[in-house]
Amino acid sequence: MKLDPLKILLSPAAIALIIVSASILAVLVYESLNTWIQDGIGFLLRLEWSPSEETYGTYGMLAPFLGSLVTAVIAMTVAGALSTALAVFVNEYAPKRFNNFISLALFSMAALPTIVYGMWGLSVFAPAVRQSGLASLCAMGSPTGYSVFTAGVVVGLMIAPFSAAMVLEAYRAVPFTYVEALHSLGAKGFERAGVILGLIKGSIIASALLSFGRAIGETTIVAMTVGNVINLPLCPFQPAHTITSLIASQFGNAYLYPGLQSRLLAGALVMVIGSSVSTSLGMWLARVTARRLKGESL
Amino acid sequence: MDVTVKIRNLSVWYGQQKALETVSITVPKGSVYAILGPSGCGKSTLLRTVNKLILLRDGAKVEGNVEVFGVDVYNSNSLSDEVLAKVGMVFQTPNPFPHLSIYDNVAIGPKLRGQAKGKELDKLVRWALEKSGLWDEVKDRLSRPASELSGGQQQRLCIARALAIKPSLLLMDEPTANLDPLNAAKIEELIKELSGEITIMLVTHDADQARRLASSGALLFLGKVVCEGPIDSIINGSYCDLLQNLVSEHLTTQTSKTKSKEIKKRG
Repeated sequence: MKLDPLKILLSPAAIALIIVSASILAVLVYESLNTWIQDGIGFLLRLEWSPSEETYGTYGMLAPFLGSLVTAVIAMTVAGALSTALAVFVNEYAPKRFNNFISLALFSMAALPTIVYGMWGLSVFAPAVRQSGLASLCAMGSPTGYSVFTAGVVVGLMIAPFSAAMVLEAYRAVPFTYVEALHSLGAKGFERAGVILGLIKGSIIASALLSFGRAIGETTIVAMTVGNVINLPLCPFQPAHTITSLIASQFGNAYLYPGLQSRLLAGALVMVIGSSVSTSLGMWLARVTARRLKGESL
Repeated sequence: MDVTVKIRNLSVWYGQQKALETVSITVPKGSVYAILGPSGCGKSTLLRTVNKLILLRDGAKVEGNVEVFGVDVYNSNSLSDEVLAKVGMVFQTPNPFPHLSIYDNVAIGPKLRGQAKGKELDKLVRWALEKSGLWDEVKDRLSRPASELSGGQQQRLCIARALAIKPSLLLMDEPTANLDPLNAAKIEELIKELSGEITIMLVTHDADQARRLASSGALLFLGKVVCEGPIDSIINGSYCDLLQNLVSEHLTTQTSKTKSKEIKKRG
């Protein structure tokens, strides 16, 4: 085999990526091994949270686990609704020169550090939620405005540019012949959008899965706006924890509590797995949809 | 003579590029009118000016008059929608909506226009599928996705989709170009049957097909109408000879080297 200089130059980068991700997984597994051996997935199904510095405490993560799921679902819904609406608006109603402006806005939103979204959530959105009085809908509604809903919406806004870019691209990539056919049948604006959204349904679901994968691992925004209370997220306007916010707030002192560190790392491992499964599924579905739409239009 | 489509001094640009130049044609009512010419001469563009599909293209500019059923479709917006609701279209590649069922593909036009619903819509769908000769093949699987049908069936489904809006004018853009001879023959048979009832504008580069189906037509070359009239007056003798004459005439007047290369290839 001939040695290709470019290959020699590039392969370390690829290998480094693989090694780093493998070592992250390995460390998470190794450090949380105790939990898996003693408890299996029991800690994910247990509600009780009673820390202790003397003996092994009980660290049931059911509440933050559900908190993560609910927050991610809210974020996914917000991002999905916004990006679908944007795709229809840009393609059916907005003037062509508006496109550049939209791209610019999406790029700048995507470039913002998550802490900025967190600060916005803290200083603008949470007070708005508090003043809206929505908390009174819940038995244990948040008096501060920090809630699962607040965190979910802000994370959704943070993800929206990425998911919008994907849905916009799918909308634009719909073979022109379908657009022509719809037009020849008298479909305009909203009606045409209805059929086209049906055509790219797969891409929309794919972008939702990617959003979910992104949202479930989001930490900064959530830790700032979710309320940080161990609470079953039965109602969206009450404060709660997610696994990521729990790790962010507890990991620093976890060494004081026997067994806590291992539980938190086990939780992190669950998030990593959930996020990668959702992301891979999304990417697979996006590929399949794009290929099918191209193939069937011939 | 009753006239369905009257086009006068029509020019079309895509950006800076001129696709049609002062085209004038007259399509008589209740006949098959063929638009002939080599690839890239503007046949599809001309067809798309009739139902304004041309305006979907980026940078397309239309100048001149296109009268459909006596209405100038580019200059009277309120009436043009009404008139264009009577114009159906079938495309070169079968393009049924792959995510919709066979039934919904046919029903979509009348549904969008609020022409029929419920039992009436069922009847209309059946009528359109019978008309396009597809009913017997699909009557037991109307709720299956259209993507399950074969290419030829898909094209007949597209014809059914266009017929379901009860058009008085049907635009067909090389409807058999992507089909095998057997399926192409079925579609030709269909066009013959329809020709007594509605006006059909048929784009084709197949002179024999035009002779079989059309009673009149126009020959386009490089965006201009070379001749128009009864089909026999356009295609007398071999079509190939005709094109060769056109090309050689063109070459003697054309100075641009790149252009002539392109056309030699076509000839």
